[in-house]
Amino acid sequence: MNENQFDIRIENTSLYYGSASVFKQITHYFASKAVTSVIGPSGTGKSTLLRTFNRMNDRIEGFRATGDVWVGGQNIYEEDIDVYALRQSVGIVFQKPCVFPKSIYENVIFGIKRLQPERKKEFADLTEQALRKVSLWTEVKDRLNEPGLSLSQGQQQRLALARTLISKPDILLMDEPTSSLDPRSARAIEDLILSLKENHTIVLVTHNIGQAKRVSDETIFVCNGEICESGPAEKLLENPCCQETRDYLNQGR
Amino acid sequence: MTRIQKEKLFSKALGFLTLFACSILAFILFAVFSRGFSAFSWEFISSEATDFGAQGGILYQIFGTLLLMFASITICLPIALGTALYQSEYLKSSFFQKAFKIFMASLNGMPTIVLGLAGYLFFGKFLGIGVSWLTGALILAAMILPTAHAAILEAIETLPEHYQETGISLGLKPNQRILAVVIPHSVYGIVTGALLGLARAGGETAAIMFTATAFSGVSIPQSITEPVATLQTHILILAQEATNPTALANAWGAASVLLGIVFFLILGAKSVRSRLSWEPEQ
Repeated sequence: MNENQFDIRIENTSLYYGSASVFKQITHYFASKAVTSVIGPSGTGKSTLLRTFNRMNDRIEGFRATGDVWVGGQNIYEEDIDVYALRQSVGIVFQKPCVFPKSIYENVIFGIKRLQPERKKEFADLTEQALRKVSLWTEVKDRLNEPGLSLSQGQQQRLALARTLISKPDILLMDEPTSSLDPRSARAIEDLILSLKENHTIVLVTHNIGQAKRVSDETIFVCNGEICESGPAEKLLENPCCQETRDYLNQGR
Repeated sequence: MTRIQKEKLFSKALGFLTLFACSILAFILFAVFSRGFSAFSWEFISSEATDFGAQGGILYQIFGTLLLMFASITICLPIALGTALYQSEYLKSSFFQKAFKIFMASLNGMPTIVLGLAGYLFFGKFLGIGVSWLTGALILAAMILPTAHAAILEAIETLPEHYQETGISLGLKPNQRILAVVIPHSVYGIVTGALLGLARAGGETAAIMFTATAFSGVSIPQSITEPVATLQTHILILAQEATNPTALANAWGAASVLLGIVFFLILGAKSVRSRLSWEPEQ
């Protein structure tokens, strides 16, 4: 184990779709075992940045990253990277909860069933651990064989999180994880984020300034292909120094 | 004429054309079933043909048609699934994507008699299988490949993107993702493709007439080099005996059975297709 496993560092990174650049020469060291929220206007590439860290953008034709992207101690856009192992150590949760039309149990073990079939005997224990981590265990322990789609939206999002956590990632990426949930379920996810940061580095894309205030330690504000401003969440959100950030934050008021 | 009147006339004209299109099918169904009805009986479908088909039933013809249908889909389905998966999951270059689409469309538009002759040259002559049910099944497999391929590809391409993304994000390799995400969630498309392919194979006559079938004296083939009798060719030959009323009635009877089989499959495909949207959208 090395301490690097929780690291995300970008140095002079530029991201492109074809010839259009999304980010130009950005550099940032993300805080380890802490929550960093990424805020900024729509369409500025917050999700693109997030999906760079587990190379989810590889699927998109014309996507290109230059510069260094260090994740868990590896420069992940180098050629000899095992991108599949990378994605297991960097979990991601999407905006819309994705639950397969299978049982709750099958949903939780969806990845490890194929990736670590030799651990089959541990699956039941791992499932319980993962569901406990997302505070879903007591709600579903008696109906693990019922369809995952029978759960509420908020429960589905926690189920998706459990599916990611079961392979024990060090880094968690969250792409607006509460934007399709009701306020109560959203709070439950926020509480989870706070409990998970003890053992995970978390990067959270959010449009909800209140949420950024409640859960994040650091915040970066992205705009016009740059990181305009970064720093402790409280300071940045209460007292931003950059005009763009101020304009953005004032829109919501 | 006012604008509203024009609009009314226009919609009426379109409605009339639609009605006309539907009446074609109604006419065919009526013509075939009303004439085939008199020949139809349990004996007709359970006994073999005698007197060159003018008497007796169509047992081996039904068997031959079903054998060709199911043998051809068995050969075709793995190829259709494999090509559809390769095209959607591995083939990156848009040039080859387009080229492959044109290739499939050309194969789809190939006159079946040409496909039959070329297939016979290759399977029958070059590989030495001769006039046999296997030659016919291989030709039909090539013929229905575009149909099955298109249905499967459509199912894969309309797979919810978040399923694919979740599979990728968990660290599944492409082959694992195909087995865990793509195939289980396109199963209805695969079934639809198979049923549509079967229906096409069941109706085909030209491609198998000289390559896979014999008119009389055949029962259940004992080896892969023997021909079979089929409903399609049976109908064709009997229909030429316009002077013998029993033969004609048997031709209509055989046509009714063939239509019944094909219809059943198409209805099956439709009902499966309507279940494609089974996932509740949020």
